[in-house]
Amino acid sequence: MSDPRRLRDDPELSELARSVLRSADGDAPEPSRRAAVARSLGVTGFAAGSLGFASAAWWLAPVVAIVLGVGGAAVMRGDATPIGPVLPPAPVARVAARASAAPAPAPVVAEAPVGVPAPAVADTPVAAEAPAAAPRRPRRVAAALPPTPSPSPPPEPSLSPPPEPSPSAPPEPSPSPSPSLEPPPAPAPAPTPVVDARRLAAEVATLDRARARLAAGDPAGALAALDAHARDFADGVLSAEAEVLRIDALLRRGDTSAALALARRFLARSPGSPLAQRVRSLIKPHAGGHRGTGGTP
Amino acid sequence: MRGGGHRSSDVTANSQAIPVPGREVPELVIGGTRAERARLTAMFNAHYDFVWRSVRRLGVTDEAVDDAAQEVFVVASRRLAAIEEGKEKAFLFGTAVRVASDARRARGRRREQADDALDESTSDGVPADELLDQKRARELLDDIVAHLPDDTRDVFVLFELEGMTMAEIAVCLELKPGTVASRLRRAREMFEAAIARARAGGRGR
Repeated sequence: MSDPRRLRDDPELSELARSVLRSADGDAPEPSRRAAVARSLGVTGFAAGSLGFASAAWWLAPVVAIVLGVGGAAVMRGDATPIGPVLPPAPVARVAARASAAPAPAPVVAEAPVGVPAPAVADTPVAAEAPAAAPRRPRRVAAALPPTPSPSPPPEPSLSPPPEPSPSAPPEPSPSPSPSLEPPPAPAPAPTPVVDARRLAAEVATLDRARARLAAGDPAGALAALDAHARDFADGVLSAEAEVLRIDALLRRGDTSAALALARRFLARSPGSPLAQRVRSLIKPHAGGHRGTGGTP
Repeated sequence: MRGGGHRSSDVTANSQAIPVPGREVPELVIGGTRAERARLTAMFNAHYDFVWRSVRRLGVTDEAVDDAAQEVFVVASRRLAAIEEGKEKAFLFGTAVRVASDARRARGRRREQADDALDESTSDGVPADELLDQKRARELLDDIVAHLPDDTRDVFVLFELEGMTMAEIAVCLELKPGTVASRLRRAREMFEAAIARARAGGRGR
């Protein structure tokens, strides 16, 4: 079956229709909310490198924050407390915390980390879950846990012995951009008045390819498409979108530091763009030192 | 017309079983064997984002998307045995359609008021041929999608927003390829008509 062209790739399409169709492109769950749902479903072993969010760091961030005694509720709301440099993807601690934004700090049950080194394949994300099942059998959600707030003694950063020499992220410099990156005043995805429709359609198609690869769990493929975009549409109308996709793809591939660097530049350049929020939520779980730029209103 | 006759057999799960769509998590028992939990885990990891996007695009509001997506997986966890191997995504989408439809109905009246508001907002000052700001573009999209007939809505969302191929959609919705094509055609006509109305200033709705 040969597919018709997507409506958005139709050069005849009005700009209004195109922007309406594209308005859903950024749809994605907040990683912290996603983690909360995973916990409430008793779904674990969401291994790094699997489909979706690649690096385990997003998953670990709330976990570690909770173990450190930070209120789970705060984490659930997404204002994840910075936990310093991004943790290397590694032990998946089984944590039962309230799945929803609870007023009280969630009681924590952290089990012995299962030493599963990061990237597991999507098909076998269960690896980490098996051993944990034995001791605890988490049959129900944390909501059912007795409200005995017994936050484990904050073991402080030593909690995360890097199990592999993963480069993860370099220590964050101050959130302010380096002076060389003087942010130009222009917001990034500003409407461009005159656009060659065919060229735009081609550009959109390239980004769609990247998006599709991402959705299919193939960040490398997505990056290839984005490279093609950068090559063919150096001054493209959708460069900002491409950049956001690249950040996403890098994160999913585990290139946290590259992703963070890119995100920092993006946020420095266009802190108020509609895409900035997306960038912030993408990097939030990875960026310990990023609350400065991540200031959600 | 709900369901348009497609795969309702798959989606008999009763979303009423989940008492509160609110914050408190009901007993989400992931019972069963390790294999079942493993399967649910695999489904979650492979399809959660897809489910989330789907319920959002099918009309669940921003604040309710996480809960709705969770609900889809709760349903899946209860009906795991009935989900055929290889048809997980189809099942999840079918469930997402139901959950989203419940959510839409639940706030049906509010929606109509919102529509009026939208009419007003689109009637003045939307430079019809320029990029709308993201928020208003999204409101318009949500509004248009909400008004598509159920059967065409699914196809439209999967093809135009999710970027699935027609073949994938046919499998996912258990439809003949020709049916997918004709529903898509109808959905597009309606989409373009709605856009035309919006450009004309929201009149004529």
